[in-house]
Amino acid sequence: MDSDVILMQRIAHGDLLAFRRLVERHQKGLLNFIYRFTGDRLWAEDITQEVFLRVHKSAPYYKPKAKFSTWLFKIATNLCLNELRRKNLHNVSLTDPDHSEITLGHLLEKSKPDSILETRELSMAILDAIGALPEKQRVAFLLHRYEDKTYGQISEIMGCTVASVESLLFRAKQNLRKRLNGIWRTE
Amino acid sequence: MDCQDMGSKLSAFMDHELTAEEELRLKKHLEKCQKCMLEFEEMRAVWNLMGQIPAIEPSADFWDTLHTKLVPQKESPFTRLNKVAQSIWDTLKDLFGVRLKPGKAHTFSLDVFNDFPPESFGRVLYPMFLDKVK
Repeated sequence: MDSDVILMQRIAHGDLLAFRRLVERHQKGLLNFIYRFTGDRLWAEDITQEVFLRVHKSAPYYKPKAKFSTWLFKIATNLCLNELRRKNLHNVSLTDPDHSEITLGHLLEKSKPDSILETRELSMAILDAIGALPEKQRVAFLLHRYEDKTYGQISEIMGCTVASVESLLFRAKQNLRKRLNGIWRTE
Repeated sequence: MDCQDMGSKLSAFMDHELTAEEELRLKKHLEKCQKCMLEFEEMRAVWNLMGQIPAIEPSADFWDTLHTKLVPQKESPFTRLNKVAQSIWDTLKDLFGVRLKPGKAHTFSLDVFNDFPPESFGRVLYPMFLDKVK
């Protein structure tokens, strides 16, 4: 049996230590997934905590139908999408607000063609490119690229078919390729 | 397999999500089609580039903050009890016209019901009724 499932059973009986262990096991992966989705560290931390609160609340009713991490990322994905819609930010740059004016074009203008962008600028350009993806493409891409989820697992998390996942990932990669074209060619 | 069929298959190939048969057909196509091979290489370059976002660490007080947020959930029975107390108070006000004495400082609030032994409830209501009786 998945040890996460055992922890969930202990949490259901009020075991706080089990909850802490579960949080410590998944907090970094979850935080980074949400951070890459939102592009905002503080916001990502808030959403991550909300995910864990929901996990804690749901523990008495939890049925291990799927892998625990699949269930966890399903909660995270739904929360991210809801939060994004609530804040109505999908048309706004999702990177650090202090640098929201920096676009890929600016970065490329600043840098010589054969130069490699500074790590921070590069990270921001990548986050910006991810943030510009349509929501579903972004979720599918992040789950696959950074969480090593298979197409089947992503389809379960997102509640769609494997064929849709394949199509979403293809379009996401195409969009990223177009958006980051100048950067990877200069590297 | 021609270039038109490629599309998402190139992406799935990179992700090791094709069947053995599909993979073989695609590899054969890539061997003879430079355009698709270039597209595949570009896709892979972008994929590698995406790995350059450094991972962030949770803040040092992540657990403490989460634990604090967890406490109100544990106290939810008291929250429900507070609502019951509030509705009793509202009913008393409506039915008997119980009012706080004007100008007198009342330091209690409904928060006192968090520890809800009956005497605490009585301590709060007693002065209210006194006002009414007088």
